[in-house]
Amino acid sequence: MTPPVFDPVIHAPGRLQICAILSSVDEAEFALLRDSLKVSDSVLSKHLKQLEEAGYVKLAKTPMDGRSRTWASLTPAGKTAFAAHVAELTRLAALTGQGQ
Amino acid sequence: MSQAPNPRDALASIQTARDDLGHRMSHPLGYDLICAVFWALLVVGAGLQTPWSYYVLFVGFAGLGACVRWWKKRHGLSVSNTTRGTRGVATIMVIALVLLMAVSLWSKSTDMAWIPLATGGLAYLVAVICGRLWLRAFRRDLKASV
Repeated sequence: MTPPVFDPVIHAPGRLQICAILSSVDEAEFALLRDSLKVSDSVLSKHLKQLEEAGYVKLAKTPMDGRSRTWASLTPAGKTAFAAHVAELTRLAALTGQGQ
Repeated sequence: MSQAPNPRDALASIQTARDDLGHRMSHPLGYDLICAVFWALLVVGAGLQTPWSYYVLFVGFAGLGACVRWWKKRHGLSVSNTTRGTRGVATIMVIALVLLMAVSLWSKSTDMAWIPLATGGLAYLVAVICGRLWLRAFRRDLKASV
């Protein structure tokens, strides 16, 4: 069981959704993340860079059909941090529910 | 810049992202029907005499590699049994295929040349069924993940 820890790097809406997608797969392509989040290339790049700087996301460029494509995956630290953040959100949501 | 969401909204956005991912993950039945041919070839190849077994196994592995590349290109995703349900389906499929390969291999020591064809046919069915079950399990696990 992952102890609940709030992570401000992950909590921003765009980065939360990126982590939600990446936690369910091995790796996802830049274009899929951009289309899923409905954001521009530059906004997604910014989010990915912040997650990469935190050590949560690994970016890799691989050639496909003569073009270089960027693939993103969660690092082990990213998986742990995301699981801890979700646990904390669940705990906080339960507390909020009790207060209502 | 958007505001940080409250816990309930944040959990809902995680679920929305995963639901959306599940909807994007659909491949036609034809994909499973074609990939199953290559799984079946691995089982058939195990029961053939050399050099035919080498040729058939080579085509099987090459075909499966092409299937994986096609899937990755179509979906922009790489998934290898990251959820409990998909791990379960994959484990059942691997056990069934290994058993069928073992039967194919055993048939080499007999004069029953039809056995590899029979095990190959069964492997085809197993692969098609498990292919569809895998997709259902992945979507179900995504829905139940938060």
